[in-house]
Amino acid sequence: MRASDYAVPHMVWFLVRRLLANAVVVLGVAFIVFALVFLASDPARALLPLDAPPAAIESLRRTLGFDQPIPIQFVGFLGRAIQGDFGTSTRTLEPALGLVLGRVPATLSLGIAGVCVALVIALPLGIVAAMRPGSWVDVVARSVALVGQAVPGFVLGQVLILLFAVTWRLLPVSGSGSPAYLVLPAIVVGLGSAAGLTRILRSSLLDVLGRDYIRTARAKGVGPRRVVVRHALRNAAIPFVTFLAFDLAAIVSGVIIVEVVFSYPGMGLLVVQAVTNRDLPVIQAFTFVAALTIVTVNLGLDVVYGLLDPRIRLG
Amino acid sequence: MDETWPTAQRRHLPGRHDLPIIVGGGIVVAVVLMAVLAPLISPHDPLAQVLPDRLKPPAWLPGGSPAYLLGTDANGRDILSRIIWGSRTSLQIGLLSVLLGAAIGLSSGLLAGYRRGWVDALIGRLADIQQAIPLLILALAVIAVVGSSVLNLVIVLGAGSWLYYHRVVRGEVLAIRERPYVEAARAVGAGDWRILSRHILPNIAGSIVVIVTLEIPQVILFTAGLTFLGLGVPPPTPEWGRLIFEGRDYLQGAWWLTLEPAAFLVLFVLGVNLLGDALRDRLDPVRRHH
Repeated sequence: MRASDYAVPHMVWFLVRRLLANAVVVLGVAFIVFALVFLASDPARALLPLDAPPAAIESLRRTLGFDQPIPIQFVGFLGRAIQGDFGTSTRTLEPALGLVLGRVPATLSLGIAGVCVALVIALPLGIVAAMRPGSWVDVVARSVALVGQAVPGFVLGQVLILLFAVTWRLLPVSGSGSPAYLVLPAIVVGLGSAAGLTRILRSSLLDVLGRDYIRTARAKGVGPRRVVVRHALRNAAIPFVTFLAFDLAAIVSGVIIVEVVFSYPGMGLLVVQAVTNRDLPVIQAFTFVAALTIVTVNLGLDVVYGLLDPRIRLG
Repeated sequence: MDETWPTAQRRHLPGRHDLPIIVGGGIVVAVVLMAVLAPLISPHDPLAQVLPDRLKPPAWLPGGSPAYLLGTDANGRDILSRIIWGSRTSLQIGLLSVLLGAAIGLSSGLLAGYRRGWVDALIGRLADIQQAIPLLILALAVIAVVGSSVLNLVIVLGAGSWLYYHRVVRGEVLAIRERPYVEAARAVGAGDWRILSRHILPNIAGSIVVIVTLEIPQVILFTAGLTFLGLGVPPPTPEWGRLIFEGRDYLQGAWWLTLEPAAFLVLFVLGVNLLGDALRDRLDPVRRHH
């Protein structure tokens, strides 16, 4: 498999392998999205509004080829999907993919703000807890992690609405517009992942701090702060980033629920409304977009790891 | 493997070490008893509507009545009874879907780790595909088509959560199958089935028990989240997520509708997490010794 011992060809092979593996994953996701229709007793019915006339159902059945063998139908679905055609919303009759993509900026800004909140909490707590295990900061970090993992976002969101928006009237209850609308939702999304991130950062830092090269650095007279910042954090970064990537699915799920709690007009609110209306094309388009995003982020991380750590690239 | 919270580790200091197990175990046992004994301990019928008594506050607040310890909802139903019966639904869904997920993941993990080769590669690809679709989105999409019921929820949540068990089991089997005692068993002519059931399974049982323990509250939280989105357990069946959801419109005036069931949910998840973490520390000999 390996063309030579130089790093660059290895990196190319590594990339090709990852790309192929991810192409298979995308194909599999496409099949699941395609197969959703067949869970319904009458696929053509499921794709049209409830009050659609029988003639329209019959015509869609023929257009989409539900009378043809499933492999041929799947190829047709793939062909349309590649052109960005997931059908039209049964509610608004607009193209489903366009509706989903139109909500991307709102959801993306909420997700990024949420991750920032998570990092602002997890980085200092995790670092200080690892530097002084057993201290009160450590106890606080552990408690935050435990409670943070037990309180669901929709409960926290409602409590924050009750306190900050209803009782003290400091922030808007729900909706979107100014950055003020982003504050409470971002806090809820962020606290959800801060718990796990703090735990991972603390444990991987503790692990690294026990290594020989840290002892060497200390023996050379490097101060505790510099040991953590220059030597330990870099090596603790890989498990931390891995966890953040692994947590991506949880963040996406958290964002969906938070959008509903705060009536924040992102993709999550759109898809939950689509589910209520049984608007299957929108659900299909959303599922595909979400999965494609996750696959792309993971591929990007694979490349970053491959560059960072030769053991992964050559393994 | 990834965590090392330091605890009082010396053998002659059992008090501090056992606290998480006692507290966590106590909460878990209390909730399980509540669910099992629901018909005996529930003070009212969870579905009975007494309209003149609607939106009564908890007994300790002015206007509260000792007949309704935790107050009543907008339809005059007793909250305490609904929480007690709700624990039944929540635990059922949690337990059944975790068992389903564990059964699938255990089988696929054993198969992939023991057979390796193309079987492992094939299951690995399926796992990658599953991982690309967050469980919440998969559940939303499937429930949207097939409709929501307790059975559908259990199937979707169970079938959608095999991944975690699969990864752990596969990894452990890959390591264990190379151990000398497995090779010795193979050398004396033990068959695949005997090696799997007598030598490999007992060695991974501990990890499975811990994951199952830790996953049950996750599934319950998840179901509660789905119910909150309007897709979980259909009304009027009491379930913790549904109770929290139903209180949403009354949050300002009647906070107890939302916060009381939420408190039970949070306390239970906290209890299981304490217990699960402590069990994991005990079962992991590497961490036990430092």
